[in-house]
Amino acid sequence: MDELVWGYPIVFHLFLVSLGAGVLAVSAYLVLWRSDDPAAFALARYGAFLAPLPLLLDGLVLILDLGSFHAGYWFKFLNLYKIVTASPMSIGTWLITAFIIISLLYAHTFLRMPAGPDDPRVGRRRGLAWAGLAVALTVAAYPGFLLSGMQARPFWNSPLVPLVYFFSALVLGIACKLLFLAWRTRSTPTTKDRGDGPGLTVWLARIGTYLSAGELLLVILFVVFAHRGAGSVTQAVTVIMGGGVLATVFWFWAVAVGLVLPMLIMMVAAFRPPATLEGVLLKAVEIAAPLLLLFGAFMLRYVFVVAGQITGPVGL
Amino acid sequence: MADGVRGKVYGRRRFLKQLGQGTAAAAALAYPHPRSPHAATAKNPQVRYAMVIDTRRCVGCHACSVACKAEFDVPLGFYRSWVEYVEKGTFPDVRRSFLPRLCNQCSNPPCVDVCPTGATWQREEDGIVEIDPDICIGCKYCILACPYDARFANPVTGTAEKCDFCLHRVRNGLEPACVETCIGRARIFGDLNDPNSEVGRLLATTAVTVLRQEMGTKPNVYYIAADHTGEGDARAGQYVRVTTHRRQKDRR
Repeated sequence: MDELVWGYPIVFHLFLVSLGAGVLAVSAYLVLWRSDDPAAFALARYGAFLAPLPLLLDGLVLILDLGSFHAGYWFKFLNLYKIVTASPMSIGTWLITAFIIISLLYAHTFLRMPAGPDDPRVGRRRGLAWAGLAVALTVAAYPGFLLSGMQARPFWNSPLVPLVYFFSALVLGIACKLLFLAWRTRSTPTTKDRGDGPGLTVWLARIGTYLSAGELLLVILFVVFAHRGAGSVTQAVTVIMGGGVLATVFWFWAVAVGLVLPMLIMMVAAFRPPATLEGVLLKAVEIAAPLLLLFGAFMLRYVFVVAGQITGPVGL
Repeated sequence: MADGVRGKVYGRRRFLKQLGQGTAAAAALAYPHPRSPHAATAKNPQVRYAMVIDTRRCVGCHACSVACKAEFDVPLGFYRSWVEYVEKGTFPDVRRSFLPRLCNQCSNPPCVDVCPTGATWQREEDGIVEIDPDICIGCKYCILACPYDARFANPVTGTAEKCDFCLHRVRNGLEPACVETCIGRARIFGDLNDPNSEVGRLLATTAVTVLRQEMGTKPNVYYIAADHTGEGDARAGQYVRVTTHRRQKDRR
């Protein structure tokens, strides 16, 4: 029987980091390259307000999970800020702190109404969007570096892991933006009425399809390289192969339900005229697909956290 | 207006300059940390403490485990040093051997590399990997990075713990508690850099192995006649069972 050293708090940590990074990256992209579209600007604004929240919650979760906090040393986590080491966790701590600061400053540029693409804060907003995009893309890959840097954990010890997390974070960003669109739909019933131009939903669905396909490809490559390799890695990956204890969670819940199905929904919506995107399909692409993506991303992180710990190097 | 613009430019420049100075000062404060893994990793220590475990002499009595627990008040279910029972074969061709385990005091320790606070470091003077409980925050990263599963999170202190070759005893000229208590003289401790030490002579004259050599960690715990078989190594039809008294039952 294996005892998990890292439990649900770390699963949430990996999920929340990716969520915040993805939301900020997509929001910054919209500000930098689609700011002439009022609907895109509104979406970027929602994203700017949401982006720091998962990371702030994540910081709280991580502190609560520390052994020192459990032992009553509530502020011992500040030791993280007394040193910079080459440890992925140390680098990640500083990156996440920078992310929180930049995302809060970025959100502040949207705070005072009327915020618009041409308001006086546009220069500062664009500057912070560039900084936010850089830090968000780095933080998006960070969970992968955190896990893959350990030779003692063969399941995680793959250069593809940071790439999987990178794509997964961006997919989460798209998913949140689609959910925002669904929320806005309550006051404006159709995509056409929202004045989206080419259709923001269609655009997001198209980008989401590409990113989901990229993530799926990377997941498959990760499994194939591990399975076709030798030694500890091949042994470790058996937990997600047929008969493995995590096979169903991985292939059915994380991959099929949480990645392939929403990708297909987005694909159907992505390559059709925006005016025809109504009714059940609109709801599916703006509500069902993002919710499935959020669920799938969480399950993927659950599988990674557990599989990495219940497997180890072969032999002694 | 022009003054205002100039004032703004000056302010920004001054801000950037101060930001740069602040960053440089922070980096200067951060890097000379005496326990930074970069500063303290000992590649060529003058003294190199090592342990040789002659498994032919081990009878699995657990005296070492108990002595260690008593020495450090290790919580129930956790061990700094423990003994594994390796059983294999089918009657009448059976064998049971004992494999004492502890931190391997690697010359290339992965736990030091991953520690985000510098709480784990390698002593320059003797190569022992140590943990400072005042700095450790209990993130458990090192526990997962150790290929020997030699670390655990102490639920009382909230920090990572492991064997440190009884540094407090060694400093005072004593042997580690497990070595002193071993009834079969299976554990031999000493300075590898001293060719006249018992460990130096044993390594020069005896075939030894280390655990998970392929990891490249360069362990300083050597085994004589150790059975490296694990449950995952069982050939078709062969019975292999590895048991311990640890809460974490399986090797990982």
